[in-house]
Amino acid sequence: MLPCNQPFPVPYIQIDKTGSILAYSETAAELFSMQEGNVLALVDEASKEKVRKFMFEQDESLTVEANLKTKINPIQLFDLHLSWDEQATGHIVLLSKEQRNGQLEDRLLALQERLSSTNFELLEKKDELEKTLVRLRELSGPFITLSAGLAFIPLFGDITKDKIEAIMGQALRSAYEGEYSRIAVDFTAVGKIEKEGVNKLLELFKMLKYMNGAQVEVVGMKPQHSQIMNSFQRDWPFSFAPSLAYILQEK
Amino acid sequence: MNEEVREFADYLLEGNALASIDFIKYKQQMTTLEIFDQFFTPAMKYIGKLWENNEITVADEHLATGTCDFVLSRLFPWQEERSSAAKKAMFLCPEGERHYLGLKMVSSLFVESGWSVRFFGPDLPLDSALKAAEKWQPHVVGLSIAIVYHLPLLREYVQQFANLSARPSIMLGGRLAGMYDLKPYCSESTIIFDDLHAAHLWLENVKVEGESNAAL
Ligand code: B12
Repeated sequence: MLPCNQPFPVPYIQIDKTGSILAYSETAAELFSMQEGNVLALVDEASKEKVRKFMFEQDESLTVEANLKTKINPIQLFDLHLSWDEQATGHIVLLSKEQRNGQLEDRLLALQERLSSTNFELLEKKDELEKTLVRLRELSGPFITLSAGLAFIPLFGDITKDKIEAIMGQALRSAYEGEYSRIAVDFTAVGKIEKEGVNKLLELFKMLKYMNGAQVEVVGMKPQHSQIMNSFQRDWPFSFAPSLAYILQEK
Repeated sequence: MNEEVREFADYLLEGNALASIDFIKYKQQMTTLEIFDQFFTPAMKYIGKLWENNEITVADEHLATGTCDFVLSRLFPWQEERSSAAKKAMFLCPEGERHYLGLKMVSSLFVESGWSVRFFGPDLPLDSALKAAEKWQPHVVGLSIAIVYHLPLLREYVQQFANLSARPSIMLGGRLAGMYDLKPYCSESTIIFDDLHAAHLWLENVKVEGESNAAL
């Protein structure tokens, strides 16, 4: 096995019918380790059958695509261009397809990745949004202690089922811990009122009343609110007070 | 080789997405598992045989892969976000590994069984994979591997996942699982699956366990 004396511009290997390497170019030696002395030693396990079948079991010149082990890459795609001469010497030119196929592969992958990453970004944004929303809802009904026996829940924004659910836990816990006799709920900053929101609110009031024995008083209710509230339900477990100031004075 | 599989493989190789979709739609009476096992998997393997016979090139395989992925994506949901009560599974190939079609089919089977599923696909670096798992806390992490040289990396992935505080079950499949004993590359709790049937059976068992627990 000799290095070729011809300066070949591309990797080139000469073999006999058993695959033994007879000669090779500089460029081939730069790319492959020639120690084993047989061209099959350069071939990836899963390409061996193919190379054996197409390169050694026939005499025509042909091109075979196969994966080879290079000095830096254990598996790299090559085109092997082979022809046999009269002395049964095989001449192989080995051209890497890595770059061309690499590009193709990258492009396909980019498409695929875009599909799934957009999905995840959206999902994560959705997660965050949901958390923020719950927090926002909780903040729309803070529970404020005004004095030993008196607590105050100002409601902000629309009365929806989700919102009342979000503030319910905190309100019940605080009411329970504080042993208030009166809880004022302020409607001054309330916008729209939904039926399901009202049902939930009713539930909350009932619980505050029966579980804690607190008297719930609603302040700041606008006429359009009380109209809507009454259209949903008449038997309200609370009383009205004109304003918070009134309640504070009364106390 | 079954004639029908060859027909389907030809559509994939032509990049004929419409014909491929129609072909699979005609099989509607079959289960997803059967369709994956009797058409998608053997068609891709047959395409591998054509390459070994020097009849097609890797460039053709790329087109077939792209078409196959498209058809799968159109017909079988492969990721899904469900309520927090649902079990969670994430799927990925280790860095450098780009044979993801089989994994995508597994992902779809999990979706079909009611799991929350995130499919990260090919070539996911270890630190991104770990971060994703820490954040989402899946019950199952599924890995797939087709190239022998990625085995050392696989061991690294398996170990790191096994060390996560949430202790996910690690599942391993792919071409190599059917060829070699992969246990030396796994942690004790890693489950190795030779094929989709094994994975499907596992899913059925989990479902039955879940139901009998719920009945208690
Ligand atoms: C299609 C294909 C490709 C496609 C990729 C397809 C894809 N996106 O998945 C493309 C063209 C991109 C490709 C590229 C390459 N490939 Co390729 N590829 C194939 C081919 C022909 C078919 C693979 C396939 O899709 N099989 C069908 C699927 C459905 O089967 P599966 O993966 O085994 O999965 C099933 C089960 O294993 C199971 N499963 C899989 N994963 C999991 C996971 C879990 C958790 C569970 C439970 C189950 C499970 O379910 C699946 C469904 O039945 C094979 C040949 C072969 N015989 O496998 C070569 C092959 C795998 N590729 C090979 C090589 C070398 C490459 C390249 C280096 C270049 C090349 N082709 O020559 C690049 C490298 C890419 C990379 N960096 O990873 C070699 C590997 C050789 C080796 N020594 O390991 C093979 C064997 C070809 C060969 N004879 O040389 N390839």
